[in-house]
Amino acid sequence: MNFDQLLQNVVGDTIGPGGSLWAFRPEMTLCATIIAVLLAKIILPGWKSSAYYITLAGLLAACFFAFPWSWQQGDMPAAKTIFTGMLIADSFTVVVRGLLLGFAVLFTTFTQMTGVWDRDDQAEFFVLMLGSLVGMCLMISANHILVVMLGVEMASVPCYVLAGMKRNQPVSSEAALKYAVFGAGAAGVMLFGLSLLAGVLGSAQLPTMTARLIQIIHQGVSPDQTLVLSLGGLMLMVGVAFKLSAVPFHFWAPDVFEGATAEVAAFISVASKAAALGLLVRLVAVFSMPSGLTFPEGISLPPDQLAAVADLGAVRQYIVAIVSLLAAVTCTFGNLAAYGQTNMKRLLAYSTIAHAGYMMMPVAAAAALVGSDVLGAREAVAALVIYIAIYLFMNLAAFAIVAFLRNATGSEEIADYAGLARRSPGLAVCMAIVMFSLVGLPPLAGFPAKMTVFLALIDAKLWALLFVGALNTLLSLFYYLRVVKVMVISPEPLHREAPTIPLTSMVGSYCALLTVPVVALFFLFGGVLYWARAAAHTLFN
Amino acid sequence: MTNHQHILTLAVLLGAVGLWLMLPRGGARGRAVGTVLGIVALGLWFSQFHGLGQWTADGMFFVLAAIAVVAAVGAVTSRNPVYCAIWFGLSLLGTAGLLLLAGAQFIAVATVLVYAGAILVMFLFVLMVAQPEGKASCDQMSWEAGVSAAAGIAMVGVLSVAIGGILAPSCPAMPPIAPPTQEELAAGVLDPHQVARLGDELFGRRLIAVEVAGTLLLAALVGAAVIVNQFSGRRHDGQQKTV
Repeated sequence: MNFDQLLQNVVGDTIGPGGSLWAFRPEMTLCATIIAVLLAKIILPGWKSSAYYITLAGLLAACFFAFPWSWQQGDMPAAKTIFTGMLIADSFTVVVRGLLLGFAVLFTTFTQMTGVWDRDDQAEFFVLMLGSLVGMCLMISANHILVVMLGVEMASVPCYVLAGMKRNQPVSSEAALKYAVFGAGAAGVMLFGLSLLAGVLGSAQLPTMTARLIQIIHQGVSPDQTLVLSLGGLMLMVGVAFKLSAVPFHFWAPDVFEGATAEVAAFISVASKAAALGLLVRLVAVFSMPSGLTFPEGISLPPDQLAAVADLGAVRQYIVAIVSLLAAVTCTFGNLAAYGQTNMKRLLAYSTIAHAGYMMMPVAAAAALVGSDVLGAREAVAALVIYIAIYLFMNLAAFAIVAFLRNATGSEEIADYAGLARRSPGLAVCMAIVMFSLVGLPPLAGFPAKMTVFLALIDAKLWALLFVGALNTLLSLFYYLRVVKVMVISPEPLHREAPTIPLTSMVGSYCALLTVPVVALFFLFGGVLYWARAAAHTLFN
Repeated sequence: MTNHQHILTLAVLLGAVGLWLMLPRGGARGRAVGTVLGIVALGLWFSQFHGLGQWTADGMFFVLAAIAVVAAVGAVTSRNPVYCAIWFGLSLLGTAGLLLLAGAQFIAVATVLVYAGAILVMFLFVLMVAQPEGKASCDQMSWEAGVSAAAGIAMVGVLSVAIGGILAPSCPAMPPIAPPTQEELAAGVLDPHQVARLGDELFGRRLIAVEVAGTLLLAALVGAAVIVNQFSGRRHDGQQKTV
């Protein structure tokens, strides 16, 4: 083996025909943008907004590369592993990555408009955001435990710094430290769990691990192996649950959301959560179903593959039990804890935790369905993708309004929103629409999102989870309504006026722009459903 | 229990007591006794090892192992933090030598480069920058000397159980290890492309992981720069002197 041979192999795998780099262009673009932003800061110190424009251009280019231009009806690309089986490029990767990049474009313009970073900090902020985004893209396309670990770390480490990027604010530093320590602990537990799994299963590539798992179960699994495997799975879930801020690993969320700026909170609550859900779907899909199944028109499998699917039944039950338990507890706790909050960002933090619970429900449904009804399981994952897409607009809009109001009043307390409906009725209407959509009331986009999730639960016959979800929707109505009540009904205090932000202003129109999809996606639900189904199409086979 | 097991158990206990006596505990005496006990424990351990039967290889092993262990003891018992750091570096060199002896060339060199080269230098920088006016008293004492020695005995005891077979019911002594055959050597340690194969694995099959790790380090570096910048910014503004 000499260098020339090595280079030949690498080039053959990456650049050659059908190589891996083609599917990896969006991530490459993000990495190139990071370097461009850093270089521009050195080479062009006079151009103050260089970071913003370069980041925006890079993100748009990445979106361009990520968009599936050639997809027609029924013309979905097959799942393909790239980089010698370390990553997987399929329609789920393409759609969720597209959502993440689209969110990043909106988010970048949002931070520029709030002007929260002074010009010196801007380049670093965008570099960290892009780095985190690369990690998230890796998380949703992971096919190897090395990539799972590196992706989670890469998505988290920049977020720790982002949470602390607020000068002269001890609260912010405290939040960042809490986040970093908690994150390091969760990552350590996750790494331990992954090593246990890899040790028992003798491989680090996820589909190979599943194949070994089927082999072990088929030969009769010993109690020791069962213990180590379930412990490994549980420890792996700790890492994912931390990223999802699922109870009981949610402690960091309220403090980080309160300590960090509203902008960073929006990034953590939307992008980080979407990526963690993507990773959860990947892990569940890999461990609940043997890979490389051949479906001759969906119904009948060859006998050996049927036996393999049946062998994984216990694993699926385990996954369903853990994920549904986490989902039910997370959802209920988030909604109950949101009641007593007086700070808007803390309220949104608990609302985020509750929504993480809702979004884990379809994953449990998918794991429950996949053994008997693959199409139903795909439908459940599609429900999750729909929820992520709609949640993206709702939460970004909510945090945008919070940030703009903070710029105007310097306060993030709910009580200080009193009188907003009189002074800036447009903004209050936007906020009310977002709040009602977060509850899931029709005719807003939150309604079909929740509806598809509940339909998936009915399909999977997870009645207890359905009951918890429905009850929680009812519970959540009251604290979201309280925000609207304060804006509309509470009398304006005498000593100060609520801010006046008309919808025709730059800031107001941006909020309106974000609120339009929250209404429009209810009526254009067919399009969302089409893309979500396309995303789930290549899973579980 | 056989004689072998008695001797190993005694070595573990003596080593722990000796280490506890040697740790700087603020005015406590007995360092000389501790040193003697430690040397006796080390001798007992070494007497129970069976080498490969080649006196050059065995001699190298004992010399390197003694350097690594003695330097590690020096690193935790020294009163001066700078000496501690240098003892630590020497211990790493001994460990790297042991790895080289075992045929792990890459890890041996990487240990020297990363630990002795980078981390140790960072330690020294931190010591010199953080305490330019002299040593603080808290740095010259061992905190929780008893707990440290107990943790050490637990660690070494577990390793002795696992490798030396203290609890094994009928284990006369460690079985002498058969020297590797020429074919095994040629396929493993003496393979001229041993490190090249590692490189092939890293930059072929695991290429993307290596690249991602590089990007992660870049992002972490920028993050570190942001944090440092914030602190210097605070000092500059003069708004908040204490951090």
